[in-house]
Parts: sequence; C-alpha cells; structure tokens
Amino acid sequence: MHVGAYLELLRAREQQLAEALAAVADHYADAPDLAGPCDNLAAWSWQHVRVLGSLSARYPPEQEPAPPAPLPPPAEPQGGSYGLLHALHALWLLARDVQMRWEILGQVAWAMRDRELLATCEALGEEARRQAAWARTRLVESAAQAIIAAPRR
Amino acid sequence: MWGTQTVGQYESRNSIAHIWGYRTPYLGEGQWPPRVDECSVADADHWVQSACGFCAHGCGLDIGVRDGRMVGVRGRAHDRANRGRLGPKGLHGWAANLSSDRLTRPLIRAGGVLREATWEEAMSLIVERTREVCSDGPGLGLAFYVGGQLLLEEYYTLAVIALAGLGTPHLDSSVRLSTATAAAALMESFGAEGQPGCFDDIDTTDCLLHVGHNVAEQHTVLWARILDRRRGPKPPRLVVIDPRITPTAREADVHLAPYPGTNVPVLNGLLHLIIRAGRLDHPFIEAHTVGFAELKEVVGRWPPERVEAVSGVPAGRLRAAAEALGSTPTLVSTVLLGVYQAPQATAAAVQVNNLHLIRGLIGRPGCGILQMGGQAAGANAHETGCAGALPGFRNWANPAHVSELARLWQVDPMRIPAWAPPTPVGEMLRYIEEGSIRLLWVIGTNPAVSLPDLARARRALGQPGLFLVVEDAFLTETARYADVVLPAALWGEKTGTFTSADRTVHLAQAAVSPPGQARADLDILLDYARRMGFRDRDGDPLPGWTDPEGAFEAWKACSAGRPCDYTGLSYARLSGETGVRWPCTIGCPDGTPRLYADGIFHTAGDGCESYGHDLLTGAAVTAPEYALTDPAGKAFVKAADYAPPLEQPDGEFPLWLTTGRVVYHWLTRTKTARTKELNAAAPDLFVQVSDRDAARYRIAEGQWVQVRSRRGTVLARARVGGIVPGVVFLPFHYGDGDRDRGPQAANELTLGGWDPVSKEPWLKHAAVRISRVREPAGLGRLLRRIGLRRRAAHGSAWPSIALAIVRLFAKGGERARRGVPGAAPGARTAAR
Repeated sequence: MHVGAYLELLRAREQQLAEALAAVADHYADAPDLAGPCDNLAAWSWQHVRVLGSLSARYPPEQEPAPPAPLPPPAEPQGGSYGLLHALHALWLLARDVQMRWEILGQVAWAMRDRELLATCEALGEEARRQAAWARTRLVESAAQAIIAAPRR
Repeated sequence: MWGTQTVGQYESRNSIAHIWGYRTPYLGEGQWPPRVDECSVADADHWVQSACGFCAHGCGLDIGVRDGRMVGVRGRAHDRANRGRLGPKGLHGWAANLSSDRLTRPLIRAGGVLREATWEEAMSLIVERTREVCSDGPGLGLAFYVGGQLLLEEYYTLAVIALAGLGTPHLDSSVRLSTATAAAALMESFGAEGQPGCFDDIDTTDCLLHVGHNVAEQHTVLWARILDRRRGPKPPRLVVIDPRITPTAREADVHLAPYPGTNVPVLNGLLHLIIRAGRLDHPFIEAHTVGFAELKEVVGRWPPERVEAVSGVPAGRLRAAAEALGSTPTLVSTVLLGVYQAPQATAAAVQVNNLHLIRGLIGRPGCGILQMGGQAAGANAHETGCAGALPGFRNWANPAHVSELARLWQVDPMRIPAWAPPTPVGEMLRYIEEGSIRLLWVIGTNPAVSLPDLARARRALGQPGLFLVVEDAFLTETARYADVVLPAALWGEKTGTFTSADRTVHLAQAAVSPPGQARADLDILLDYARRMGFRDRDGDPLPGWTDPEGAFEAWKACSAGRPCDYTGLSYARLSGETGVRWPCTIGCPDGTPRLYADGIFHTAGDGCESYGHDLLTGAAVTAPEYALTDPAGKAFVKAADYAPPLEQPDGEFPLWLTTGRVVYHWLTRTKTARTKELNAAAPDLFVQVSDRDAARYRIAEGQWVQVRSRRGTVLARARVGGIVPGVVFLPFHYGDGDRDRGPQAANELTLGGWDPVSKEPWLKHAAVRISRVREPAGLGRLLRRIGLRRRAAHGSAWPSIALAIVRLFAKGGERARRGVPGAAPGARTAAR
C-alpha cells in the first residue's frame, strides 16, 4: 500500500506548483497581468497542500516517500516574452501533472470506499484543471509574438 | 494656457450652473416631453444634422453654421435619445473645434524637434517604416491604438487595413480602458455583445439600479430623464452602489457605499438575499438559463453580515436594497466604470446580468440591462473589430466566422490574424518595451495621460527604437512623443455614423471643413492603404471604398446576419427625425428596442461571439469544451466568488485611491480644456478626502495634498467630505498640460494590472498615502517668470524648455528639478 507515499508525492508537487506560480509572477513583473491570477492560483495550491497535510494523518506514509517522478528541470529564468513562454509552459506542465495525480488519487479513494477523499479529489482536481487552463490560455495568446518577433535577450 | 474660445452669446439655459436643466416630469414610453437646449454665438444660416460626440448617450443635435464656420448647437426635439436636451459638454464642447491651436499641417520629427511637413513626406515616411517593421514577420512589428470617438466608417476601415491588409493582431482601442468589461460581461452572459434593453425602459420602469455608474455626471441627459421620472407620477425606486456620495447617490432611496474592490461580495450578497426570499422567476430560469444551481451555492456563502465585514456596507442597508430589487416587477440596471475598472470587473458586471436573469427581468418594457458605454463611438469600436472581437461580433476562435470575413474581404483566411484574440493595449506596451512592436500608430486618443501607471507608459511611448505616429487634432501630451503627427479633422468636419450605448445609430454630417490641411481619419487611413498597395484576391484595392457612405455600405454587408445587423439602415434612412436601433433589417426597418424578447440568447456555439472564460482566472473555454455543454440559446448564469485585490492598504500606504470623472470634463480634456466655460467650471485637479481622514491627516478644505502610491505622486487641493472614510478620490481628466503645478494625472498612481477576462486596467483601486504639503504654485509662477511658454506647439518649444531648465539649474534648487514639466520627451530627444 502506497497511499500515504502518494499523498506525500502530490503534496510536494502542489507545493512546487504554488512556488512556481509565485516565482513566475515575481520574475515577470513586467507582465502586470500575471500577478493577480498567479496569486489566486498559488493560494489554491497552498490550500491543497494543507488538505493533503491533514490527509496524511489518515494515510500515514508507511515508509520513506517514493522519490518524485522526474519533471523537466525548472527553466533558467529568462527575460522577455520568449522566456515567459517557457515559464508558462512549465506551469502548464506542472498543473497538468497535479491534475492527473488528483484523478489517480480519486481512483484510489473510490477503491478504498473513502467518499470524503473522493469528493476532495474531484473538487481539487477541478481547481488543478482551471490552473492548467489559465496557463494554456496565457501561453497560446502570446506564443506567436514570443517566438517570431521577440528579440533575443 | 491652451487656446480657448468664448461661447455663450445665446444659451437657452445655463448648463454650467444647472447641469440637468429644469424638470419635465412624465410617465410612460415615448412620453418624455421635449425641451430644446441650444448654445450659439451667432445666428446660423443653416443647421446640419449630427449627434453629440462626447458620451455614449448619443444625443441628437444640429450644428449651426454661418459663413462656413460652426456657430452653435441645438438639440433635436424629436430624437428619442434626448428629445432636444443637451448637457454642458454637448452645449459648449464644440467650441474646441475653433481653437487657435488646432493642428493644421503634418509634423515630422527631425533633429529632435517636430517640424512642419507635407502630407506626401509624412505618409511616405509612415509607409517606409511600416515596410521596415513588417519585413521580418507578418504584421507583428506594428500596432494600432485608436480612441473611442471616431466614426463607424473609420473603425471598420481601420479593422480591414489591420486584419486583412497587414494581418496584425495588434489592434486595440481606448475603450479597453473604459467599457471592455461591458462587452465581456455581455458575452459571458448572453453569448454576444449588444445591450439587452434601451433608454426607453426608463420611461416605465418601477426601479433603477446604478452600479459604479455616476449617471448624473457621466450621462447628464440620461440623468435628466431619470429625474423627470422621479418627479413624475409613479416614480421609480432608486438603488445606487458607489463608494462616493455623488449627485446620483444623493438622489438614491438606498445608497450602498462599498470599499473599492468589493463589488462581487456586495452583489453576491444581494443575489443571496433575493434567492433566499424566493423572489425568482423559476419558469424563466428553467427555460432560458443554465448555471443557476452553482450561483445559488456560491452566493449562499455571502450572508449580509459577511458582506458587511468585507465591504463596509451595513447589513441592514443591504437588506433594504435586496428588498427593493427583489420586489420590483420591472428593473433597469446600469453599470459603468465603478465596476468595469475595479477588481473582478467582469465577474461583478455579470452578477448584474444574473440579477435580471434569475428574476426574468429582461426583454420586455421597463426591464433593461445597460452595461453602459462611455465614449460616443465606443460601441462602434467593438462592433467593427477594433476592440477585442472580430468585426460583426464574430468569434476569433470559430474558424467558420474567420472564413466569413475572408470571403467578404476576398482574402486568404490565413491572412486574418485569428490565431489568438487581438492584443490588449497593456500587452502592446510590453511588446514595445521589449522591442517586438516597433511602430505604434495612435489615432484620436491620449495614452500619455489615460493609461495606467503613467511612468511606465511614458517610458514605452518614449522608447528609443519606437516609431510613433499620432493622428489627432491637437498636439496632445502623446503627440509630443511622436515621430510623425498627422492633423485630423474633428467631429462636425466629417461625415459618418456612430452608435450610442442603447444601440441607436446616428448620422453625423460634416458641417464645416477641417482647418488648414487637416484631414478626416477615414481619408488618412484610405491614403495609407493605397500607398501600402493592399489588394484582395481579385487584385482590387483593399479596402474597396473611397468615401464614408461606401464604407457604411461595406459595413452593412459585414454585419448581415450578425447580432448587430445594420442591413436595414442607410444614410437616407438615418437622415430622419431620430436615430435607429440595431438590429435593423429590411424586415425590421424601424430597428429593435429590446433584444432577447423571445428569451433566446446568442449562445449557440456556431453563432456566439465568445466561448466564454473562467471569470476568476480568465482561462478561455475552448471550442471542444463549449460543444460539450452548448446551451444553444439559453443564457449563462455565471457565479463568481470573491478574490481580494492584490494591492490593499497597509501600514505604508494606508488608504484606498479611487478615480473617476467630473461633469465638466471629458477624458483627458483635449477638447473640454479648450472650451472656456467648461475649463473655468473645473480648472484644477482636486483630491476628495473624507471628514475623518481630513481630521486624521490635518487637512483642511482647499489645502494642498500630496497623494503617493508605489508608482508615483500627484499634488492636488483637498476637497473634504462626500466619500467613505479610508478612500480618497481623484478625477482622471487632468494630465501633463497642468504640470506647472507638479504631476496632475491620477494615473501616475494607478496599477498596471488588468481584469483577466476583459483585460480592462485596474484604474479604480490602489493603495496610497496622503500628506499636507505647501502650495506648489510658486513653481509654476517661477517657470512663467523665466519665460517658459506652456503652449509648446510644433515641438519648437523644446529648445526653450531646455533653456529654461538651464536657467532653473542656474538658480538652483531641487524644487525646480522635481517640477520641470515634460522632461521625458526632452530626454527622448537626447537619446535619438
């Protein structure tokens, strides 16, 4: 049984996402539309971290948590639209990863007949979906300008 | 300072002292009595049909002409918008046309200063620079930023040039700063833009709700109509939501004064009380909407006590408002900048739509939603594709809509830049800063005063490597940064149409010729298109028209079958007694007073203007996602929970700033400061402070106050009272032109961020601190004494400013350095 370990893994990912959202808003302060959504969306992830922390009382990890599956290394922070493109892409990947993990945890919750956990997985997985949808929208709206026209930095 | 004209030899009423005029009480649709307002300086030898070009109320008027000169205006008694009435700006503002500092020749920057040039030189230079910046990409290197006061024909021409000629997605309008949220909210709820109701709904309604809309000062003639209803039989109840005690709020039966940024909690609280009291139209909700269950759940989190804790609105007063709004059998709601420029703008505006949807108060007399317009032709910027959608309210994410346009224009669909929505102006600035937009063409708007976070905006406009074209009638604050200035004709000097906030289309005829070599924006744009050699598939010129009426006919074809259908209109039809509301087709030649009378909304996936967004994040719903839940004609009831604003008062900046209008001015005062009466009525910036804060900071009425945010500082005299404690107010009209008193633009202080859905900037909230300061006017006097002339026409003043700076430094003093106006353009000149 790896439920506790998986919860810990997801908690680490949510924390990574929250920190990455804050870091992108901070690093790309010249894009003033980022701060608002990043702040809201990071708050969701921090809330998810808290929920996962409280769940670990019910499903304590029985052993050392499995090492998180490798993710693309965080891009070197770059400036400009081209750099932002990669940063948003990394956020999108992270959010999709988190969303997938909530879905997986939902399968587990059903199999364990844990109604409360299942409801949590559905609600928080939906928020992860919205996080990814935001990153996608912001990404595709600026991609052409960033790749074709933005000067090298 | 600026050239002014004295008018007022004959004025039918003193509109400066008595803004709304005498009362003509009434009740009933079409019953508003006429009252013809007039202001003229001489007897006209003839009158020319037009409409007022200031606000989006669109009052019908005639322009008086004598010996080829404008001599006055008079309201059109039979026009349904105003029945002859005009407001102070309508009555006086035309005098700006006669101003002695009109631009009459093109200007080109050479050796750091603007010098007079020929049209041939100016246009050749623009074409040359266009080719240069487009050499390495499909139109990504240039951008158009256009005001909200052009004519429909000019907007449509610009849209065709940008979208089909150059293929650039960088086309935006200053309506992004004012009513982008109105458009967004209408799309989110109803699938497409278009006001559901009309001004006639005021004639019969039992209740009015104004949210963030100071009607009395923004739409003065609309307010006269409301006052006339209020003084007549069966007066409507009036509920106002505004943090200030405005003239609108003073008239209200219930006034809610929330803190900035709390519109969503207040509106959610009202919806919660109405739902809890069961004041719902269940059959309408069932048959014509989707999403009610979620709304009920979300607003259920907002009992009055929680609303009070967050917004400062007393629970009892919220209940009184909910009682009025929940019990009324008819309701007209109007929304404006207090919502559109505030945090969670679209989310809040949508809650007003929800109020009407859940009570079934839509599509019938007395039940209007007016997501109001600000600028006279703002609606046309939206309709024609200059403000965030594709022409004809087409959906950029729907390939079939893009193909329709390609067929209409006879171009390859790939040429139309519909891979993403058009670029909002805030994003354009960032592209300019990073050098990926290298040509910006500004038409009839003044971003050097109106954009948020002005220090940054000025840096972008003055950025080395940016080629800036400014098309305007005056040497505005923005034009001073320009590389080429094109002198433009004003309202009254060109023919075309524009459409008011209730979809009423008016024809405005040229009454006089433009001064000197100034030309209509339409002619300038067509000249550019010819010089660029834009062609369609058949090798015909693109755009294919040469005059306003040709452009109008082309627009009609573009609008056919869309929600804003103009096909039943013509210049001949619009030359009648009153304007006509779209949709107007051959089968419906008198136009349409109300949309959605049948309860069928524009939400079907194949027709909608937008697939909608996540109101909190701005994430776009994709076409496949929309197809799964296509409501096929039902309206969306979209819920939104509160998200606190990012910047909030703290120890360092303990007060809220909010911004807005005064009745005598318009936008950045380009015209109203050049009209003697209007300027004299409100010559200076002021800062409004509550009694409590005035006492706390030891500020008395009339004393000078410094207002500082994290981004900048302004100096203004205090006006004490009439505002919620903890909040200060600055009008946003004043700009660089007043800088001998130090910085005067409210936007020195405002935030750079924007609403994630409408992309409208956050101009209504920022954290500031205030302190009393010594009168700075000594500086202005000093500058004048050493011979610095304010009227820096044709750039030739810059050497004299440089000289003045040298003199000032010779006299020494940090005071002088801080206060020297317009240092930025000078710095730019040096960088070139």
